[in-house]
Amino acid sequence: MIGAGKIKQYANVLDKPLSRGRQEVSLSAFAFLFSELVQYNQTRVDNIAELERRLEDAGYAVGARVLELLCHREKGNRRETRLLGILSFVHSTVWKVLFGKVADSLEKGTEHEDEYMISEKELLVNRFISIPKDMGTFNCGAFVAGIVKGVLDGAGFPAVVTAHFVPVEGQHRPRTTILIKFAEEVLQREARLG
Amino acid sequence: MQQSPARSEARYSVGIGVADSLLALFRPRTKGKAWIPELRLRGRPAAAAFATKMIVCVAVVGHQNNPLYLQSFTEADDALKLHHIIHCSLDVIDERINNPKKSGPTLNEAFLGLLYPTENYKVYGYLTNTKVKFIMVTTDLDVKDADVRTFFRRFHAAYVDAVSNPFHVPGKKITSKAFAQRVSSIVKSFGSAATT
Repeated sequence: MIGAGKIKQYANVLDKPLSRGRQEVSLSAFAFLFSELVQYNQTRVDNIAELERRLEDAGYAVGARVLELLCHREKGNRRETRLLGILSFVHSTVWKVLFGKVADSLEKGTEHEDEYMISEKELLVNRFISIPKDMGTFNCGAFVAGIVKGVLDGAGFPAVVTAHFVPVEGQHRPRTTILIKFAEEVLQREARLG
Repeated sequence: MQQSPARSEARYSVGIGVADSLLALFRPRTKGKAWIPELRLRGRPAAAAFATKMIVCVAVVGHQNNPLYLQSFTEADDALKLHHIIHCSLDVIDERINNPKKSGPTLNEAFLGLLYPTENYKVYGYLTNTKVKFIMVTTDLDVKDADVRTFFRRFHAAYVDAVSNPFHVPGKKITSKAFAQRVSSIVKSFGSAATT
């Protein structure tokens, strides 16, 4: 779990809580590792789309393992068969374990039936990253999109997941939205289940 | 057991000379090694006599019904028969997934319970959220439900640890030796009152 804020330092070792508690990783350690991951991939690709795909693949592996881990840890866990069930699982449980808080919002797309959006004011992975102008619409949130894709695929809901910047008036930095587009079979199954 | 023949031989050869005594130390080692298979043979029947609550086979099957891990715990030669039993129980699991029997709080639960009893085996199943199935075949005829649940919980923990390995390719067989060792220790402690 990535620490969303500062890790509490105990002056006296006797004051530390006895239970092991939730494990936290320092944010700076993760930021360095992630920036190294992006740089490593940048030198090996020719275009932006390939870079996004590589970040997404890296996130996919994380997502698959996170799903297995959470299903084992959560008490009273049920296998999700409904669309809303798995979306709320991603929106609250997965976000809480990875980033320390639930995602900002979960919305249903208006134009198409199969689109859903999870938005966040600022993704934790993007906190220390600024995209140069010549990279266009590239978003390092492709890594988080890959994580979501891994979780959904593992749970039996194949989908195409992408990350986009959405400019918001009144704010300097744009909001980030993870767009989830489910495959045909998922919608058919959902309609059949009623 | 290896040391005592060497030491007794060394005591005999004290009068002969230093080099001879060194040789005497080295020679009985081979004799000592030849004794070990005897000990093994003596050890095995004692373990097999314990067969009151024995798990004979465990298996992990992926979400496309591909085998990920298959391990049998008897020295008998009907390992193929056990594989066949596990293969047949996959059908029962598929039936249970597609037609949920009850609705309400027991819907979509992980532990599937007794799949089907054969002549002298009982087959239990467990389904994870990623449609990965754990199957366990046991010879015990009056096994407690709580014991099986504990077994599957520990097995699930070992499986999650094996999958979290970054070198594990999802969909391929689990080749980790640590996982195999953990599974053997979980199987050995099945049935006895143990910690979680």
